[in-house]
Parts: sequence; C-alpha cells; structure tokens
Amino acid sequence: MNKPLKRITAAVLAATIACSTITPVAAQPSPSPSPSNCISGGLLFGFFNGVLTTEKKAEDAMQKFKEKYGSNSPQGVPNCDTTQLAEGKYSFSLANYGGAQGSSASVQIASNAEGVLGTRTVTMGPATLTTPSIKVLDVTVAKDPRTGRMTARIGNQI
Amino acid sequence: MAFIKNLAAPFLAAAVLAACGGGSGTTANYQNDKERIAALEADGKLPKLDRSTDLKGPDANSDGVRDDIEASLKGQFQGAQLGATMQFARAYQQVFDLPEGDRIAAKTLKIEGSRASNCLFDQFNSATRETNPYVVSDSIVSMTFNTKARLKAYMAYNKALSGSVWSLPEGDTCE
Repeated sequence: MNKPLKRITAAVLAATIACSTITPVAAQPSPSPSPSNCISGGLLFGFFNGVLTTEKKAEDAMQKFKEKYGSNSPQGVPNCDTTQLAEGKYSFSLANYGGAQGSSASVQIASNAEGVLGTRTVTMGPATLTTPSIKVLDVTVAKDPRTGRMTARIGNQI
Repeated sequence: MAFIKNLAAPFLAAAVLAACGGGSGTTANYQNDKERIAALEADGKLPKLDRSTDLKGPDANSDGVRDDIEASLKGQFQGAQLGATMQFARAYQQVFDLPEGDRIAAKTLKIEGSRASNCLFDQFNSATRETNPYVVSDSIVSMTFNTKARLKAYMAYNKALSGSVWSLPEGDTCE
C-alpha cells in the first residue's frame, strides 16, 4: 500500500474549521481491497476528507492531529486503504481551542466517489481546548455486500 | 473575484489583530486605527512593517525574506528557532512569484511550505504564547500578507490550491 494512502489529508475550499476532531463510533473491521475508491486523476484522497478555507488552516489542522494522535494518520480515521477502512459511523465535532467564541465555523465533508457529502455551519461556543463541544456531522461508511464497494453518506443511515 | 473580496476584509482585520497581540493596556485615545498602529510601532510593541506597493517588498540581502520581517524575527528568536521562522517566512514569500492560476507551481510551493511548517512546529512548543507555533506561524503569515495587494496574492494562492490534498512531511525538514 502506498504510504500517502495511510495519511489523513486536508483540502482547501470554502469552509472554515477552528479545530476539528474525528471520532469513529461503532466501527467494525471490514477487509475489502478497493483502492480505486481513493484515486482520481492522479491525486490520492482519503476515503473522505474535511475541507478547509485556507492552506494555513489545513496545515494547522494536520498539526493538531499530529499533536493529539502522535501522527496525522491516527488509527480509526477514514483511511483510504480499504483493507483497514472500518465500516460504521464517523462523528465530526468541533472544538474551540481558544479565541474563536462567536465565530462562524463551517465544515464540509467530501468523498472522492460521491463528491460533497454535506456542509454544516455552526457558531462556536466558549473555549474547550481540545475537547469537542459541537457535533456537526456524522458520516456513515458502509460496504455494498453485493459489489464490495465502500460508500460514504451523511447521517446514520447505512 | 467575489470570493476573494468577501474574505479580504476579515483577513485584513485578522492580520491587524494578530499583529497587535494581547491588549496593550494603554489608555491613550486615538482618532483611528492608523494612529493606534503608528503609536504601537513607535513604542516597539509592533514590528515596523513595509507597506509599499511592491508586492515582494525590500530584500537587501537577497535571502528570500523581506527585510522588515527578517528584522522582526531576529529581534524575537535565535538559533534553531530563528532558522525555522526564516525558512517559514521564505516559503510564504515565494507566493508572490507564483504565476497566477498555476496549480502545479502552487502545489510545489505548498509542499515546500509544509516542510517549513513541520520544521517550525518541531522547533517551538505551546508553553507560552511567544513560543506557541500556531501563534508564531500566524504572525509570520500576517506580516507577509500585510497589504491588500499581498493578501490578494495569498488568496490567489489558496484559490490555486482549492480542491488539492497533501500530507505532513515526516522527519527533520529543517534546512
């Protein structure tokens, strides 16, 4: 498996994230090799990605991941390696680390196969350092039992 | 260009606020922000920044870092931390050399920028505000893109990167 595939990636588009965390919930192992889920036009994507406004915010978000998990490829995040990608629900939450109270924060989630899955905008509350305080989106990853293809959808529905 | 216009005002405001740092506690009354900034610069509480119309600004020693930013960094840091901040500032200064809309050149620069960022985060820690890598890096970005024209160049860089992905580099990326 290509090493970059194992890394969480960040992208730049029209959204703002003060600080994000991803928590896999009720994830089950699901071996199903299908790397084409993550390759498009020569670019390697994570199975699905958080989208940020500026390259600086993307850089900061990756550094936050590194601080929190020791690398920017923590176990359980939406790995592009479908032999390791777990089915189940992934919850995206925001934490105001500091200084963002009252700011508007938007989170957009996109997958390579389905495009933009959803966007939510929230107003940040009091600072909580690295503790998430606002749940914004759930992404459900599931495998089609007939084709073996992995899909990602917003919400809890598989 | 509506997208850039909409973002320009808050970014300029953020640049000013980031440069201001914590409250000065001064009770002086100023007519406007220009006077307030001038007073802070005169007191040495803010770096005296070049605000010329030249995008790249002065770089007398041709080290790739704008002279006023270099002076500010040398006044705050030394050793490996100074090296990391200079590498970071040099990477962002190259935004002004990018051909408009050249996504490949932007991505190439982003990779260099990530190496510089990785180095800076390795050399700093969050023990104090002065050594917090998020604060230090934000400050350098704010100083680099401190005029409307420079900020527009930064937004064009972000536009060229829109939709792209990258990862943090691994290992020692300090030059």
